[in-house]
Amino acid sequence: MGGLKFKVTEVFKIGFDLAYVNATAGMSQFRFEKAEAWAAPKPNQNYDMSLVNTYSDLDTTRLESDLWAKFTFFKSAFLYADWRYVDYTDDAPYLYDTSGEISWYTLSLGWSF
Amino acid sequence: MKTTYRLLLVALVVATVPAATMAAIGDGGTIIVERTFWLGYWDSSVDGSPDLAAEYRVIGDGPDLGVKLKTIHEWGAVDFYGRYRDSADQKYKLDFDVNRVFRSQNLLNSLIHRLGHQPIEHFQAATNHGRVVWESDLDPDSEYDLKYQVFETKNEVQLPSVDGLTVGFGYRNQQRKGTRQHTTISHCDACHVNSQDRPTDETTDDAYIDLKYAWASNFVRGSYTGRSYSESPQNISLLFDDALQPELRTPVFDNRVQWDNAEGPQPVDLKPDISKDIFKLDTLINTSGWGIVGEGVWSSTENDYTRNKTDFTGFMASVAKRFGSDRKWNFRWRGRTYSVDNNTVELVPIQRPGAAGPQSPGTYSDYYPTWPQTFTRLPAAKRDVLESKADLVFGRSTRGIGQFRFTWNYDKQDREYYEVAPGTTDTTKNLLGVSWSARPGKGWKTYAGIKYADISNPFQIVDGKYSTLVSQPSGGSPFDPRAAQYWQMHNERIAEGAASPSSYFQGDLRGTYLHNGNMLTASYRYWKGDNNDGDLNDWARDSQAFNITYWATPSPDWQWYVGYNYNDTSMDTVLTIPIFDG
Repeated sequence: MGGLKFKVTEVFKIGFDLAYVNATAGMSQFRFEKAEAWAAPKPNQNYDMSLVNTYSDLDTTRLESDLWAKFTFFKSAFLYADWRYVDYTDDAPYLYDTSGEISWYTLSLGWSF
Repeated sequence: MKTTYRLLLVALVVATVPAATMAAIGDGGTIIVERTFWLGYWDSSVDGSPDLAAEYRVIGDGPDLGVKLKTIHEWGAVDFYGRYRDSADQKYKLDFDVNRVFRSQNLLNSLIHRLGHQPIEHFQAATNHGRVVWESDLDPDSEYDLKYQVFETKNEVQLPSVDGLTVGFGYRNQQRKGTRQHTTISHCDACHVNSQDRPTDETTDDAYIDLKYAWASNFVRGSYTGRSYSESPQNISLLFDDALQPELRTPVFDNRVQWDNAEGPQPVDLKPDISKDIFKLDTLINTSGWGIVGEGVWSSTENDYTRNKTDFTGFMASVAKRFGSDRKWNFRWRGRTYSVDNNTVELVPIQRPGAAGPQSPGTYSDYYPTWPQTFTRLPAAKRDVLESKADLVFGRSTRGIGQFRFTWNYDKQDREYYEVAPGTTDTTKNLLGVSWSARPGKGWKTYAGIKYADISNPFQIVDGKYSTLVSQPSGGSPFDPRAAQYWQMHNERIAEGAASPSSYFQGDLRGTYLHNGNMLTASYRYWKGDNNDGDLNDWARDSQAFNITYWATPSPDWQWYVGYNYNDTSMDTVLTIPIFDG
């Protein structure tokens, strides 16, 4: 993560914040060691557990940023603009893909006195 | 929403009072610290799913309205902040003080929580015998979310005519409204998973009043809080499937289920409405260099429908004293004891007569006479608890070699019924720690500490997994009374299930360096614990967390920061999988 705030001129300021998160989690593979012995007399049963660990696979990244600018005029009035951006990526979707990319734009006129 | 706008209106009216008063008083009597208004518009664009990218944020478009007002007057002070972007994205905060006689803190906050809509198509399976798992989503187009809103007001009155007496009163209202996804499963005919909308309209109300009398550097205070929690929508229901044998399609399981479609739609959710009364009495006494704090809490919580009840009685005491030359030593002890009492619950399952098959027309207990028929649920939370925390401190972190802190914490939980080891209901924990904090040079702050805890009989589920029962039904029929039943399989479990350590170690390192307006901070924590105390139990977890952040202010015109966080946790545990064949 990181960010900066910069006064370009006495009446113009900008700011920027950035955060990046990568999260992974999962189970180690496990086996039902007696599977072959159990499965032999039961051909219709499946005792293969070798892929069960993949049901608990988590791999996501999240990028979030916020860029803003504030311009002051007539000493007490100001114009404020903000762009917030989030990109969430599910690199191992299971039930459904929760990945999404969203931008929020804000433009405001204000007065400080 | 009417409540929201009513509260907003009240907040704005109160906020405009000081503005009007200012005009009346004039500049001579008022200091304006900040007075800002803004009006704007916001919009958003979405590509993909907003469920996690905007889990707690609104999307769409709307106005962006805001007010900041901070003024100091001859008669007191006002601090107001308000921002509205959406009915589910708004925040108002109003603090004011009138002549130090009346102080008030008020907050209204709203946000959204997206819950998504979990597809259930994966609940589909079939065997060569035709037994299936299948699903029905009764509301496939619903998007689930909850709107959360909290309003809180805390007020204090200090009457000049009654020296030392403070009257406090307040109110808190928390709401969660929206729709959740509710899933229910029908058994026997198949494993049939149903999903449907579950309207949510929860309200928690807290109202309190307290009286505080202070003299010298001492006080005594008593308070009462009344709480109610309600869940207003009607119960949702489901018509369960006919309990048929999946291959024969006959009702041979009727005496093994408490209801199926013959009983009509059944309620499938809970309304845990409660009422709660809390009384507190606390005091602070300073005498002969000792600071003594005492507190007593008595509460009673009752479910409005079942009348199940929980009573809590707790006492806390704390003493502290500095001693030795230059008062370099400091001793502090905090103790707490409390008891929780719940009522027992008797469960008597419905026993239906068999409709077909070899067990018709008998009930389940006719064929399995050792089955309990009546179940007494003993309260697992009923317990007496003692907690003790003692610190002995030498030195000052700001001087010389720094400060050393020695810690001994002792906890004992004496449960009435719940066993955490065979025949044992007690858990005892001893934690020892030592830490050092200092300022070794100009601009430096450092901390290093280690803790070790030993827990006798940590919380675990006795005989919670690993059934040793091998079913060998005579003739292969599940209706042979000698065939193993689920409850018999449960009775033969021998392994403890645990996710709590019987001992753990924790180490912390922290440092800060401040120089010419720039600051570097770093911290590291290591934690390792395990539990091998129970039968066939082997649980271990270790984790590491590291953070480093640098803030810089090269000039008054700009500042920047950069940081990095790292967390790593690994866990080992025993996994048991029951093998079914039929």
